[in-house]
Amino acid sequence: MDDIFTASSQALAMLLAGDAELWSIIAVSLSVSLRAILYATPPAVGLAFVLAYCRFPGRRLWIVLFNTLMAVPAVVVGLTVYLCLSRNGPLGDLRLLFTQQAMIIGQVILCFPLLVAMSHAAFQSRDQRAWETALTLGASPWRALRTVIYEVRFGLIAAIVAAFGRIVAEVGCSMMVGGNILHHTRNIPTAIALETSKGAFAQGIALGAVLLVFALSLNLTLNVLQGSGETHNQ
Amino acid sequence: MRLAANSARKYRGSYLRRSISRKLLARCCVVLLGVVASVNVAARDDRILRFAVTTTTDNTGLISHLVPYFENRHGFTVRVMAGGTGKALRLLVNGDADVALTHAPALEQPLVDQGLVLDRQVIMANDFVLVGPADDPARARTAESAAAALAAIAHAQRHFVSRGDESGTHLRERHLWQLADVEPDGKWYMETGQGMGKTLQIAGEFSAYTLSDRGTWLRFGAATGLQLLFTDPPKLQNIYSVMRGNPKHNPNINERGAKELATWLRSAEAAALIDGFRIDGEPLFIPVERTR
Repeated sequence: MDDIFTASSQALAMLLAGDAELWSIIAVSLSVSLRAILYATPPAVGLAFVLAYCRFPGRRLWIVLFNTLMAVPAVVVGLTVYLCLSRNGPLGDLRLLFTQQAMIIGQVILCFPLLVAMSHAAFQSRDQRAWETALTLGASPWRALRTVIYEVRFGLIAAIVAAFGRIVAEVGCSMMVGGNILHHTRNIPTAIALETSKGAFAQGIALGAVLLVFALSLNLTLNVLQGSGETHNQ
Repeated sequence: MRLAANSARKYRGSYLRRSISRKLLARCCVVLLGVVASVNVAARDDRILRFAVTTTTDNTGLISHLVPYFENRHGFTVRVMAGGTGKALRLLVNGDADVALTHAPALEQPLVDQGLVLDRQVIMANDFVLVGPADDPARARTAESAAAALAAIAHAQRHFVSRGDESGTHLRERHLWQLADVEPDGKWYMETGQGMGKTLQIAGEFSAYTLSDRGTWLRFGAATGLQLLFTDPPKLQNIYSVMRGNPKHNPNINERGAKELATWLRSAEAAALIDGFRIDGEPLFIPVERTR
């Protein structure tokens, strides 16, 4: 038990003292996952909109496909990206393996289905007449799209928060394609997984606490937003 | 008529399937109970040994080569835990392992002196090797010593991949940097925090230099596209020792089993197995009798 308390107080001290290594790990985590979300969200929301508003053969199949892809284990994504990017793989010439770009690619693939499925659900939950009304009132399709997105913004934010939650805490894919290189591709989950094996428990606890704070603040934000969303409706 | 017969067959078929699936279910339950029971028994069984080993011995396949012989001959079940030497020793000292096989004399001796581990015995050795890209931009190949080779890499600011995990290999690498009087730091110096196999793989992707033990290099080197650049067997000797935990500090240690495994690892039989563990005719580890 002593171990836990000493390590926890060390952890707090490290965080407060601005331990360079610790903060570099946190920075890698945030920058990689935020960029992944940034790249994945626009196409995912676009696709979700198409799936919700357009009628074309195979549409339901696509929806089922994305719902299924949500369950793909991170290590499988990691393995696939690894095989594509490794020196002998089809994209080996890009020399991307064990870089942040590789981690971003993996995380985009991981969060894309979740974003599509949740955004699709959000679009479907709203009255489709908003789109038609906007068009009849003379809005350009682009303007009408923005109106619809504004209508379902809470659902979309929920999708983004959930997707961010999935990738920021994900260890399997980041470890495989990132390689856990310090100051370069070592993020919070891979650091916790491997620093602990060195017996650097304090660092593990500190990083775990940071992840928890992320999760808490994200969920609080979501909760507040959704709360205001409800009153807005009434 | 045929329709009726078909449906009857179908019906019988489904009945059969159902009864089969019920039997299967019953059998599964029995098996599950058996497994649960045996796990329970196993938890109290003193025939289980926890063996902490370094990643170099595990990644090369040596441990999975040796352990089955011991298990068959002595009737123990060995649970292998692979990690860097630092981790393996910590497991042993904390009583989470019964026996450890490590390769950092500088870390091991203090523990022996403090009585935290017992019976430290050298069982085998190989050497550390410096590997890197074939074109060798830092000219490490022609260096006079390992430290000079590292200094050349640092001077050329070429990628060097470090284990960075407090393993025996990492400790030796840090010692060499000290000898070279270089504090490795900067974008060219990359710490993976992972095992030797993975570290070689990463070095290969970056066409980087790295320090490896000869065993893991022989096992994984060909796939990395890197080349053996600098060796100095007498000075870069890599010594593996076996030791067991002290039951005075950790009463739950399997002392009898630990003694038996430690003794067996020094036996002629184990030495023959270690010597026979070769890749392309080259031994990965040299048992202690031949190194003396």
